[in-house]
Amino acid sequence: MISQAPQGILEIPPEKKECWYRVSKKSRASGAARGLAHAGSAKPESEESIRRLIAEGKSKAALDGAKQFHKQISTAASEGLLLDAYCARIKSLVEQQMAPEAKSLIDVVRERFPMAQSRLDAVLSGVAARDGDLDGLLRPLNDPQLDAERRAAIEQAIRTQLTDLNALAKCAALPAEHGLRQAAAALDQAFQLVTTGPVTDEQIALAEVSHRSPLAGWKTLIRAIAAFYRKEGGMCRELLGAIKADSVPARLGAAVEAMLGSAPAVPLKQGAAKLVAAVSGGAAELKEALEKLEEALQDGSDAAIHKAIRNAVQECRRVAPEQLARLKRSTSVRSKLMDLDPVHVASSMEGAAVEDAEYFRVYSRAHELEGEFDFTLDACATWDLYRRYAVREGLFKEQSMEAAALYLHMASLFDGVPKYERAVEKRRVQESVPKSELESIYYWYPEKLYARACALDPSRESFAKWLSFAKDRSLRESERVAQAWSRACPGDLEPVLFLMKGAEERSNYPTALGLLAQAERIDAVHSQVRAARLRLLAASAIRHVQQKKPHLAEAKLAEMAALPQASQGDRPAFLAAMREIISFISKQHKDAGAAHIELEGLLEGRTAAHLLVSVLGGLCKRKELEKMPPLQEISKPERASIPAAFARVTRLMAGIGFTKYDLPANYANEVENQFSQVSGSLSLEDLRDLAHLGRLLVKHKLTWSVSNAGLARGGTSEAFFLMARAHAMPGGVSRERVTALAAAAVALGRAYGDSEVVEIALKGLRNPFSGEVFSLTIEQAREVVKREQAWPKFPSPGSGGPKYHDLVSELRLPTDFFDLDGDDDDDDEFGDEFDEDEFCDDDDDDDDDDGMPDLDTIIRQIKATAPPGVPPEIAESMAKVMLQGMLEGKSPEEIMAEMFGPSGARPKKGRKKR
Amino acid sequence: MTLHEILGISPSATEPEIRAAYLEKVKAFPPDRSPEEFEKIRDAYETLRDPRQRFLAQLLDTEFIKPLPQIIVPAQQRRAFVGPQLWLEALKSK
Repeated sequence: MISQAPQGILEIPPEKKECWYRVSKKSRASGAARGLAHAGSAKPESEESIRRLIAEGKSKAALDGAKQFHKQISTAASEGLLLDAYCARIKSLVEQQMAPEAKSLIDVVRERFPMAQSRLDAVLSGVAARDGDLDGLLRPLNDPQLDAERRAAIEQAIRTQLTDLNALAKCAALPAEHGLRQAAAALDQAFQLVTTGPVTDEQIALAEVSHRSPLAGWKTLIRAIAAFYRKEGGMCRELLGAIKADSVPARLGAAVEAMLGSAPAVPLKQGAAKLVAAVSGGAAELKEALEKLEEALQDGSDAAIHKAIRNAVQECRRVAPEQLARLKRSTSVRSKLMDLDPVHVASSMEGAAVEDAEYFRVYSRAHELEGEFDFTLDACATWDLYRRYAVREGLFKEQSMEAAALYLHMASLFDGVPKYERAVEKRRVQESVPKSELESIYYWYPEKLYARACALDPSRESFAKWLSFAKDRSLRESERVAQAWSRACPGDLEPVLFLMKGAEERSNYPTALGLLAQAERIDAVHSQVRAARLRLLAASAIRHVQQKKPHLAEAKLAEMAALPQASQGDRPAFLAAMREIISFISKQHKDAGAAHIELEGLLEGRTAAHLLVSVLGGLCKRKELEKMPPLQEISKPERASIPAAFARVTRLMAGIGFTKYDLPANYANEVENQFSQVSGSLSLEDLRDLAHLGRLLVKHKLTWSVSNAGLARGGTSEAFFLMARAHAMPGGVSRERVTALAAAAVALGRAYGDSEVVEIALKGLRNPFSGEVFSLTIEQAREVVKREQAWPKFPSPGSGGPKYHDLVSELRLPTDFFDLDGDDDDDDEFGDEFDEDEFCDDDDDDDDDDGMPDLDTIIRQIKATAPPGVPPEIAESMAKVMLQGMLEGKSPEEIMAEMFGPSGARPKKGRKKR
Repeated sequence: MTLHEILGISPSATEPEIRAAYLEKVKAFPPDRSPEEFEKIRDAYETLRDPRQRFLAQLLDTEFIKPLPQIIVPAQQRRAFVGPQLWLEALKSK
């Protein structure tokens, strides 16, 4: 470590001596000569340029310039500059391993500038420390008169240059009891310990090293290394951060950070890299190889990917063999998704990935996450492989809840697949797979997957998903599912209600009533169950009248009459009207007359009695009973009672559960005519029913008039009438007004607890993009009511109306707001539309269950209608276009016309109505 | 973060292990002091205690889509004691 300078090394070569001598002599030239020299010389170097040269490390040029500069002006400043240049040059020589030259130069400077002794000492200390000349460096510390500047220079050199603690501990230039030697010895020992095995806190306490010692950085480094081995990453980083950046121990910071897992900002030096590799067992190299592979998989060429795979696999095998299977699995799956040659990939991996359950799980999941139908099909196939391997590996049993969950998941993958793609794929599969083997590809049939799941796990959740899927396909299939559900879970109400609804819609009331009895046994207080019996008995009685079986109708009526709910409200009038009809068709005219008198009494008027009989007569398909007395023949008071009669009868019918029936058109028109005259005598309930009726019959003026009357009454129905008004607004008049009406309806509906109004109005107020809802405060809503009350006139373009600029900042609603909740309202208030054609399908072929012809049928039709010479493959393509078009709601004729022009369209026999 | 990661357990953890991890986490993040964290922990536990949900969580786990350096991690973070020599050599290389 400590190298002695060879003998004679400090001697200056003769030619250099001469040179220095000459320079020295010149420097002692007289002031006059100096002035002349200055005046007659070329432009001198500036101090600034010389300092720049020093800063840039161009010490030789800087020294030459400084000499010239000092020679010319010879001031204290120029001498200071010259000294700086000498120091820079000496340091540079030291750094270039030219210690003899550096020492020679120091001697020269010391001779010429005795006052610069301390500066030279500092430089000397650095040289001595760097060369391992510790004796030379430390000896001055024995001098009790050593000035502070020199001491600081020596300590600085120790801190920034000394790398050998052992040498310092044994340095003969200092007495053995010297603090520095003691500290270095303790640090040396602790360093040995901390890098060799676990240490205790006592072992690295290092009380000998004060925080002011030039060796304090070593103490912190030892503690940081201890923290590193103790896996105290945070503490380790904290300690590393506390080490002075220019000190020797700080040089290990990057290496330790790398071992802690941080990516180094600059490549590690060779020694540091060697240390990291040795300590971390190659984890850093593995990480780097994986990062390169990840990059290559993201956007590398095939060659780059294979190279990166080879490298990563090799590193993984060396560093973390337990992770090799995982790496191969991930690499294999990702390369398959990228369509890389699997054989080549396996070769790069030095062997293919193990195909076990986990492999197929990852493979399937990766495929389904791609989101495309082709990938979905692949995913289902590989999920089946996963299932088989999982069973084989004992992860779960073949007949288990886990298998059921898997089947349900596989079935759910088809949720987002368009029907068209499913139909095409189904056909392709059916063509390519023999019928006997279709069961082996069960995984491409969601219905089979649901069936398997429900067989293994007959739970409500499983069946509910299956039924939801089947409802989208056909009523018959969904009823089969509901039956299976009901058999498997006899305590579940949903399938029974579903089957009951289906039977009711087919007018199969005996079955519906049987299912109702079953539902009553499960949950007699369920709202749908409670409402169903009265409705089903009434519908059943009507059905018997239609079938001309009055005795059966009477029996149902008797059953109905026995129900407690049959005596509520106007319901006895319903019974009386039905009795009248039954007596009439039984030709018991006397009884019919008596029943009619009773009916008039119950409904407090002739008009309402006639109207109810007319409505029920229509339902019973008795045209003679549908007829109302001609309007011109009825009295003025009877005309005036028409609005109230309509309100009462429609309310009674809705209360029993009838939502679809005919009303006499001339009487309905008369409601509108009479309303303004009698509105004051109508109850609030009547007004609500008439507003509803106006909307049902698309009589916007009636609805508007009713809303005027309703708003005039005030109270808790204001929200309802504002909503009715919004619905009655003609399209294109004022979006601003519609928005204000709906928002006010929401605000008041909330205040009055009218959730039905709030729900409907909110649909129109929600921004479809942001999901935000436009709203008004209750005070603003009351302001809307006030302004509406001041404008009762039915709006039309240019008719004016209240302005809402101040309340409605953005226009949210379409102009025809009353269409916004169209279909939903049918569900909620008027019942579902029932397409009987669905039930006329006697075809048992499941393929037809979605109401669509299959591809074969379409291809046959196209061949029959296409221009001559259309090749079969073109016909098949056309069939796909046809199927897609039909799924988009176009008629076959429209699609054919699009393909072949108007003459290509042909009427289709037996096509189901859609 | 997966449900298992929230509770700090391996994907193959058994029911008792899941419960033990849950109780430990709740002690560390009680609802009165860390309501949001507690809610996450509670949700994760509620899902993982149900065998169906637990199976689905394992089945649908997407850990594998993370970048390779995040999923291929040596089982043990090696920190070998290599003696002072290599450390000193690294220290000498400026």
